[in-house]
Amino acid sequence: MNTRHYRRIAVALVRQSLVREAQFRTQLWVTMIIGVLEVGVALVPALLVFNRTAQVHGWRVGEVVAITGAAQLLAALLAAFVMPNQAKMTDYIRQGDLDQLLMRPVPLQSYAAVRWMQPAELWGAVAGLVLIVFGIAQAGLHPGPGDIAAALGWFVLGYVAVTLIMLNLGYLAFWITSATQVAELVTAVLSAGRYPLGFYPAAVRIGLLTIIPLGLATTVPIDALRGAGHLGSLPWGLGLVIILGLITRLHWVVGLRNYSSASS
Amino acid sequence: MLETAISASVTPDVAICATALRKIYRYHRSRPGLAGSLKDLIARQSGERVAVESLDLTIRRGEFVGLLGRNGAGKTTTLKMFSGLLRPTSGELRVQGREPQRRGFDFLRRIGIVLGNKSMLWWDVSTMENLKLHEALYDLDRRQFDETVAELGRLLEITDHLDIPVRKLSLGERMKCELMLALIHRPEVIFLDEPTIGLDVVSKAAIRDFLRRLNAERQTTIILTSHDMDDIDQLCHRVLLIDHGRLQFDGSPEELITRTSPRRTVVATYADGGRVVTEVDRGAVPDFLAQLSAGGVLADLEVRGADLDEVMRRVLAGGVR
Amino acid sequence: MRRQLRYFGALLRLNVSVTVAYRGDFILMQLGNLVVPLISLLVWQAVLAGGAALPVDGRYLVAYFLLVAVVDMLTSSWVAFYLAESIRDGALNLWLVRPTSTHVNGISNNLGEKAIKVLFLVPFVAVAAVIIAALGVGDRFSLPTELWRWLLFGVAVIIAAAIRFALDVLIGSLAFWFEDVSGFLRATGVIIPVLSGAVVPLALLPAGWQLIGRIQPFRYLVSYPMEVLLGGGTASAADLAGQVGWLAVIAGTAALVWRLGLRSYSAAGA
Repeated sequence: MNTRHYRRIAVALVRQSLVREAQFRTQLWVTMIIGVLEVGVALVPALLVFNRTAQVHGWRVGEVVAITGAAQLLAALLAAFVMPNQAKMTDYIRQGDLDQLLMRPVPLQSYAAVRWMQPAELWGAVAGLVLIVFGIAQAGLHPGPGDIAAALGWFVLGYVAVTLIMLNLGYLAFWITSATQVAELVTAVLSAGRYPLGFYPAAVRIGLLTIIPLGLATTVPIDALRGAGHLGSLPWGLGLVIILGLITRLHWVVGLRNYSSASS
Repeated sequence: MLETAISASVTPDVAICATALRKIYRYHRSRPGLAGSLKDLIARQSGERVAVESLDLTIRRGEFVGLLGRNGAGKTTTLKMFSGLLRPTSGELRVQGREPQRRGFDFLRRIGIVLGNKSMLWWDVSTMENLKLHEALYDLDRRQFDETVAELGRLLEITDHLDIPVRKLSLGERMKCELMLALIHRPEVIFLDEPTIGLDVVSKAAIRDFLRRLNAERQTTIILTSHDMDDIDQLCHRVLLIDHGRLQFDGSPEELITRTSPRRTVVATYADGGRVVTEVDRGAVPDFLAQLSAGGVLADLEVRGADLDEVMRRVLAGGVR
Repeated sequence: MRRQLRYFGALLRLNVSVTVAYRGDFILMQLGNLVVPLISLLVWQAVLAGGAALPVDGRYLVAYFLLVAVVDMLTSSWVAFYLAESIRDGALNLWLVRPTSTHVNGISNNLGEKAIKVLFLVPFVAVAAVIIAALGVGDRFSLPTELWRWLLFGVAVIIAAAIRFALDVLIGSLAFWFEDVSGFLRATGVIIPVLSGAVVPLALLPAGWQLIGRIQPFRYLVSYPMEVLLGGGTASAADLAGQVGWLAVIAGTAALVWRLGLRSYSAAGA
């Protein structure tokens, strides 16, 4: 397996998913309109809040809109690249389809993690970016290149961390039948990322930075754009991702062993 | 002619009576692309497709009828009209003396249907639970229900499987349970659409056996569609060939074979290893056999009629002459 | 009729037992449903703590967000998706050959699942109430004691559930004419929670939007029952008439659309 081989596989997967999307032409329009609708609805609570007050815990409306945008961006990227595969895990494992993948000449864990994608969901990502830009502008912020780099770095870190969590939730199908519902539960928790972590009690805040570290992809990057780079916490963030990565790998290996030793 | 047709429909002897039955589909052609979709919003292009041209037929009680034809030839449409799922465009149709499309209780409780690729069973519970649902649904008498369960369970050999969740049954067992569910209310006419699809040889034989007995003992009228010619061959007294919306043939399977493939294939193997394979007209077979024996010592001789598979291939390619 | 009732009873029992069999899934589902209003509660409490002046007090907010999960669940419906699917893949035919309606199945499934879901959800809400109080979030609240309030609440919930079900039948019926109704489903799945008051109490709408919030039909799905129970809203006797009126309109439309759809289906087939 060399990089050229990986690249060919990646291209093939992307092309296949685009062809699938293009087949449903009306679907495209509908998905876009619905995507905009969903973003609008996500903003409603925040707008209602700031209809009554100018700032909450030091956060102003534009900044909160930017955080909602970051949460939207995170959700859209997950929906496009991670969720389709995580949902399929249950099928693979429960219906023995994993056997099919085991026969492919590719590293199984990575392949299973990226196999399926839904590009249409990326419209939501565009909407999220628009919200971030709009929110920052509305708040009158002028982040410098260093701030933007820090924000980007934290977002990537957060995205990777949440992806690893979602992968692990998919692997739960090795052990329990209700894996899909657990994933839905965590997806509901993700909506907490729409608001600054400062709104929540301390216990909840810590949970949203460690166990389900969506804060790293939402509040922290926008905070960086406000000028608070949190660079001192960077080692902790990296450490968290590394630990999660190890757990994910271990979970997969043990789960696969369990799967293979069970009869179909 | 119309009078005799209608009077025939009210005799208890007649299960299905169709007169000048016609079904035309009106469909909309969608234009490609975004511009096309917008144009379609304003004015749609529509077309007509004649699925069933003009069907005249009478099926008597107790007949075992096979519906043959290409996919899309009109046999599924016909089956759906018989079972009340589709409204005919014109013509008269009576099943057990009633109009199917009204879907009255009196009609629905007299028919049963099994679709090979769509299960009517609820998979999360046992077959017995499913049966009890239908006991309530068809307002069946308790004692008769128990008797029917025992009888069908015995005939289908699944009495022990009735309490197992349907999800856990094999395909063959599930199909038997499907049949049991369709027959629990003792319908007079049943429609079977591909009932043996995907089943192994043993299961197929068991189901055919059961259907044969059902037809013989209870005089249940059975309308069967199947792509497996063995099903038709072994079970049906009468086959209806529907092609291009028309009834192309109505008679026994043997007649169909004779009409379309009057030749027989002769395979002669000689003791010295030589082999002769030829098609010979039925009438000329005795003479031909005599010639073969003159050609040497015969080790093996086979005289084969065309089987239904070959017949269907030929018919679907060129029609019935 | 008696036959249909007997059948319905048998179906209902089966739905309950299947839901119990899948209790792991349903328990987690209820937890998930509770998470979203809890997040909203935390956010709005932060707003209050920041000194904002809201038309409702902290006690009301806690009561609302804790109870809305239960009311939302009791008035929910999911049949639209399955109805649309059965129309598209021909499973509807299996119901048309039976002397009953597919809606009998839909209703028994709806009621059967809810009977079990509520058993799972209520303890979770109670625990959440305790945790919320322990975390010091908001003021303690107490449930209303007047019997008439609970009775009216019960009636409002039942009518709301019926409206929601009829709406789902209406949306699912669109599959008779449209290839793909997933767009409609997703759109309603996004709009209804907001307009019904499940996401945010309608009382928190800006002053200019209050009137619209009051007269739009989705208010009667969640907000109206909540207003009846918790009081302090704009609910009045006239509103009950309004709720019944909307039920008549939506159920009537659903019945008509369904009948038209069936006619078209039996002309064109699946």
